Amino acid sequence: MTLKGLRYLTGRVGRPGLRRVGRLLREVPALFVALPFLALAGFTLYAAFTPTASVNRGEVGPFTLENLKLAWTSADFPRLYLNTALFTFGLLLLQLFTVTTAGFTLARLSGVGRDWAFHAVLIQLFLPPSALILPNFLTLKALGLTDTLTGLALPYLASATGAFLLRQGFRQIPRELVEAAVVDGASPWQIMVRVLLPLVRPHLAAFSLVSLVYHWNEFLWPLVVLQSPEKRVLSLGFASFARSAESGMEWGLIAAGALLVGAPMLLAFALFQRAFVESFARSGLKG
Amino acid sequence: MRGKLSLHDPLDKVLTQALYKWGRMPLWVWLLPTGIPLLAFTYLPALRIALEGFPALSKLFNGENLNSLKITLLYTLLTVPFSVLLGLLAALALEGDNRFRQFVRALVFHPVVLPTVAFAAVFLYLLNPLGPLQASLQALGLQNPLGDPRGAFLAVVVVGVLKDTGIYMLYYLAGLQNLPKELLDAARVDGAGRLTTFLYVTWPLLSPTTFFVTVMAALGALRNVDHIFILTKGGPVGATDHLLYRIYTLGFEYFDFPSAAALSLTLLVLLTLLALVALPRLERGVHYDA
Repeated sequence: MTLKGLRYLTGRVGRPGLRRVGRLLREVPALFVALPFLALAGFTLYAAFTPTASVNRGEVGPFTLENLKLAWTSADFPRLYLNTALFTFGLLLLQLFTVTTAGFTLARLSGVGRDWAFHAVLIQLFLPPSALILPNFLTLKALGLTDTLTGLALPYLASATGAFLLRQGFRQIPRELVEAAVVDGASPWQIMVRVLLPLVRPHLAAFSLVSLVYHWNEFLWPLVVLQSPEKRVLSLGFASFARSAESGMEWGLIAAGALLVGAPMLLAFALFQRAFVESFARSGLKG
Repeated sequence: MRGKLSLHDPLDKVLTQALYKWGRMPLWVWLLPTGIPLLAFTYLPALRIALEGFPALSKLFNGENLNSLKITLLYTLLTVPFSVLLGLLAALALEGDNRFRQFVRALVFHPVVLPTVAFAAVFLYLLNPLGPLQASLQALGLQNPLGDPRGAFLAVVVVGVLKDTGIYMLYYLAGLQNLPKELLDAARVDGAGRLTTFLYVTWPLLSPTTFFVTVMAALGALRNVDHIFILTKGGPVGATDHLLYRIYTLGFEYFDFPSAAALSLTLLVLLTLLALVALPRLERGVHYDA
């Protein structure tokens, strides 16, 4: 082979076809990373839309919506969605207040007071409510709030992640903006509502998304707090439903149920991918 | 975004002046909406665990409870390196902005928005002895992974890691983006190969991200046990009996509060140790400026 031929093979000389091959080769690692996740998603969709009999024989069966229908009727999905939405959005509303006030204060503190407040809030990351289910349940019991969505929300009112995210937001506000507002004779309330809050809106949005996803998916604490079936949230409803479907080896039903439970967040993720990614990256905390 | 805005310029004076009426309100009043819930649902409960768990600590020393502690430590020690490795590999393979990589990034990230219970349930199907993976599982000598102590433990680790790989990938992508380009260029000019550049430039520069991912993965391993409820219920023969899972069963199924309190205290000690390692460095701002 001539030297020129070798050069073609190594891709040093631009020949369109080879360059394309080279580009494809560079995607091989990406393909490897994709495979397990692709397989997971693929098998879930296959099982969800194939008759269980075919799934159990490992066949590619006819497309069916039976599993979805059956899953939908085996648990009270409308109520589960409603309870979950009430819990997550209600909690978020309260959290928006607590994280804004905390973030605002943390941004203003200095010196020893700041160090103390930092530690006091940050420690919550390492003493998460899930590790405190036992004493928190006893507290709720004493308050008579077990088996209520209010009780479910209480341990999450304060959020270290949110407080530090908002602190970051408040600290990035240029002082000139605030000064200009003062010169213009704005009242404290106006400064807060017209200047400060609009500027931290991206941070509030990022926190909201992370909080919604986290609490929408939550399982252990609801399992501890909620007893009556009509108070149940999605993850609880799904778990009890999966248990009975598993004993019957009804994989199609389990996959369909998982889809129903995951659908709202998956849909939101598909629509607002960028917002999701940015929110989760942002809430990776920075002290 | 480093340096774009006056981060070190304390807003305090300006704000206090601007909000002079509120400024007279002592600052701690503003911390109350966060402080009161923290007191009621974090500090006092932790204190209560310490007070009630300590006298019961002798309960920790029986075979099953010690096993649970061992499983928790093993689970954490196995989950953390896999999470770091997978997050890093995914970020390295998927950095950049072509459509295919964008799609795969979304694919890797999607389990993060799913409930762990739903994500785990899919593995009930995948790992059942007659399931779609039976051939490959048999090759590994695991006919029924969830029925075998070792297989069940591995399954729980795999599910725990895959669920959160997307988020660790995200931290690494952010870390990669913040690498100083000059250094990478300098390495290339000096004729360093890809591997050399990675080992001597990229990896050391990523160490803050690696530290952050390590802490988050350890935290996740200590506090998320949802998949254990679906996949193994702590079994078989205690092979996946994570402390938190056992706290639940002892406390809320057997109503053995002293034992549950002793185990809760053990878990809190592990979390506190993690906090002692992590907090000083986290505070110095390990992660990138958002």
